Amino acid sequence: MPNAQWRAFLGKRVLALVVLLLVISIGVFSLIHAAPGSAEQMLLSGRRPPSPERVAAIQERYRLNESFLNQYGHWVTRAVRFDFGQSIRTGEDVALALRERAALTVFLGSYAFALIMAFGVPLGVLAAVKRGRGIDRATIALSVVGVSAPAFVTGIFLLYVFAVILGWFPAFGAGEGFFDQLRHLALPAVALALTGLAPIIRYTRTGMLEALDQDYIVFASARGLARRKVLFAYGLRNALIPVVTAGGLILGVMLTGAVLVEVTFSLPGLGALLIESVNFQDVPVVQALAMLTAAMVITVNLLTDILYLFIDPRIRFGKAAS
Amino acid sequence: MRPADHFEQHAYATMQAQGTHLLEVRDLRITSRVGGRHRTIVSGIGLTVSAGETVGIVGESGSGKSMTARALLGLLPAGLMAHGTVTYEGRDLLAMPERALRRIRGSDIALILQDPYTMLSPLRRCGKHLEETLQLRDDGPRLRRRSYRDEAVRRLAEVGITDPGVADVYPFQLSGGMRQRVGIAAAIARDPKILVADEPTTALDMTTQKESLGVLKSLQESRRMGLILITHDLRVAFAMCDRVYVLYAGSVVEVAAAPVVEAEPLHPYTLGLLLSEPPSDRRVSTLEAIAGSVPEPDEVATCCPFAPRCAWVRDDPCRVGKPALAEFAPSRHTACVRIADIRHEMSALRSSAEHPVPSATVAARSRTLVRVEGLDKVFTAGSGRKAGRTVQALVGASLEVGDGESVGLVGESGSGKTTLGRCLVGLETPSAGEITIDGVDGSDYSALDRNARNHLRRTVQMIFQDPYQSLNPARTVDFAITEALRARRERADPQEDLDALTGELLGRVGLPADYRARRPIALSGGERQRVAIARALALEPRLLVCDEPVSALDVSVQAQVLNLLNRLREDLGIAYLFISHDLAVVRQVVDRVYVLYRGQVVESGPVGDVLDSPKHPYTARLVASLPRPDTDWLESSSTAKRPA
Repeated sequence: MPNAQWRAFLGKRVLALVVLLLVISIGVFSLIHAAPGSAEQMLLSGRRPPSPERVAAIQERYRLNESFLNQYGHWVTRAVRFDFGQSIRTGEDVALALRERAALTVFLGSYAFALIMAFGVPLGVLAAVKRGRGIDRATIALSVVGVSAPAFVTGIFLLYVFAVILGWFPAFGAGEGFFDQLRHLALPAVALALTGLAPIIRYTRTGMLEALDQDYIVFASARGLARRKVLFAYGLRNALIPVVTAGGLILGVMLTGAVLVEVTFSLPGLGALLIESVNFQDVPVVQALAMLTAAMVITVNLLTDILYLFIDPRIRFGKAAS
Repeated sequence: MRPADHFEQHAYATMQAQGTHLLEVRDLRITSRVGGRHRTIVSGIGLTVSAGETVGIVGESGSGKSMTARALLGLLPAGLMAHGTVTYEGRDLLAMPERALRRIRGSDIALILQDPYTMLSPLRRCGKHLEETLQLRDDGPRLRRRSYRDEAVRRLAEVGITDPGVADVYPFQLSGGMRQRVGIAAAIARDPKILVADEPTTALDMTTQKESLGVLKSLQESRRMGLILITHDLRVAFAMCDRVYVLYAGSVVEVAAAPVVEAEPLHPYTLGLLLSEPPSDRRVSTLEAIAGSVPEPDEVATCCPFAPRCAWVRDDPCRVGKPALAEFAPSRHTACVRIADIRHEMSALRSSAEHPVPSATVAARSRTLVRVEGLDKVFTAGSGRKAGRTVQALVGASLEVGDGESVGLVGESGSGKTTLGRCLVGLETPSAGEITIDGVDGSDYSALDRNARNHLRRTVQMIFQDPYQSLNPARTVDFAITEALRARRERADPQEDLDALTGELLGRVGLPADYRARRPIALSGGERQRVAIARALALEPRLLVCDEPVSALDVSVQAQVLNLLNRLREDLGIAYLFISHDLAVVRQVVDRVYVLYRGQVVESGPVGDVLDSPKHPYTARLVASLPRPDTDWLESSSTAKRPA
């Protein structure tokens, strides 16, 4: 694909990303209005009956007297500068709080995702190659167990066995520095990865089975190419598109859906923050979290689409044009 | 024609001269095991190939020919097992461990497959396919990366691809013929001694087929490779091969030198195959079709495999045991146990069946039923703002079909012939031009009122190429036909009437009435196409657009369907627009023919005239691409015959 086309493609996709985020931001901002009760009550999270001055101050601060559009405009212009205001609960700057928490969650999510790909793809390939045999069935059974056991159950189980009984991994804390984090977050990452392993194994297996059935596999073998080359350069390479699709979806889930695992392992991540904030009706934090989640999911999708272009020349050149 | 004896001596002499064989297959059996049930796919094949020799394995689908090809390289699909011996350089390939076999594959025995569209990995550049294969050569010093590329370009030139840029493109950017050449170049990159070619040209156009076969033949001769050509097309086998093995339901039924088989087949199946093949140079009154279809090898394990379909069958000796291949005359083997008795009857049948009838005289033309004038059709790739690349499928095409007339439309893929047919039945709307059907303007079906549209749909019906896709797999035959019958009546007929009509229609297309309860899965390809025809006839159309109606079928079945179409026309006075790439087929069923080339009608006229003395160079090229056994069909390449 020529450079100009690349730029056009990227430009278009980034523009779409921005538009999408704007649309989502309207929805997110409306949360405060959609929630039961008046916005003032919610913001005051009424323990004591609020004094009229307090109400007026709140109204002033959140511009609740102005029109919805004005309020939104004000919120969004600050949001693009990553200014989401202060947390109602802690008074902390939301963006700052998020940054600390996000670092942990992104690390944990990527860790789990790396584990999923590192184990899921080879297991899928193995299952496909040994189609119908014991190892194939065992892999599928294992992945079903993984996906059906809730993360907090596997989490507690892992904690009990590997942290409490065997003492191989710490039971607590997130660790400092890369390698320490790797050690501290191993159990949570495994618990998280188990929930996303099954689809990757499935997609890899199905894609491989389909690819291995193709003529180009027979032809590659007939030319005497090594089995490993046939399996990977021909089989897996052609099976990759569905795997990448599933991988993108799962990465999104890993980054945004680690709530249960974070709570189980008492990790101060985004998920834990979300729960605390929702419980406390800490609207600015919830809004910022929702925007961050949306941005992460959309970015992962964009990366997936770019990856397609690298994997499949037919997409790159536009098959219709050939 | 020269006397057969001459050929026998010739073939015998060459076999003697060759001495040892490169590859010898003995009693090759291929079985599958599905859910504990054993199935035979190939039941005992023997064959030999020598250096510089081309042997053909000819058979229809279900004969086991493709699995034989794959068994030779130890590449059978999972669940299939090969037994017997395949001896190459004194070693039995079937007993060899996978690791050792891999050293033989590509370097000693190579394989090319039928479908050039799926043979190359879509994600790998063409040159890469060659380079990675070249890198496996263990002779000589290993080259630098750059040199492999140069070598790949040189190899592409060898198969007639002189543009070095082809090495850098992906397979999907090339035409089928080009892909097949890249495939051939990759297959022989390690200079194998034997090349197994499994239907290498079946998926290609006629002219491309001829070119590809020419490439194969010249490579084989210049390298003195042994070539095993697997094909369903006897004409191709005769044009290419020194010796032919005729395979039927997993067994070899006849072996002899190609010219000898061509001159006098010694097995009723070979004769049937030969006679089912529509002759390209003349029209015959009816094709001698073989009734029924190919059985499973296990169904005929204890009798002559052809017994259920043979006209000369006798319970004794044909059904008392499985006849072995025996030498009937020097170097002529047949598995027919009655050949001595029926030899003369067979040749008598052949001479009468091949007796030409004059191509249908173009009688004073009947009333014009369909007139197409100046038809344009432009397809635009992509949509919206991306729309840019356009393909003009039809460029001012005009044709006429008279009432009850059979008109052919021939051309290669991309010529626009299918588009024209689809425009006629309203599946496509032409970009410009006029279609008049039975006095109604049919240029744009969507612009017509309901009545006029229904009238057109009843007047013109279509039969599609692939009977496996044109019938709804979830519905019975009865449903498919009754649905069409209801559309004709537009009111609820009593069920008994519909039943009677369905039975009648099935009878017309030669199917027993109890087929109505079947679903497509329980039908063979030929039977499905018959159902599709019955469904089209249900509307009592006056024109049937037949889009390659027999090209997906085996030759023997193809002949049945062609005969059926001819009979229906006689009985019903229905008109055909017969779309086909196969000139020989067209000759058997049409009165007049239009030749379509890049969307334009370049020639038209009575079919005999057009095919016998083509005026347009493209038509001449098409006619020349028909495989001919008797002359140097492959011109440039077939001059240097192997020394005897």
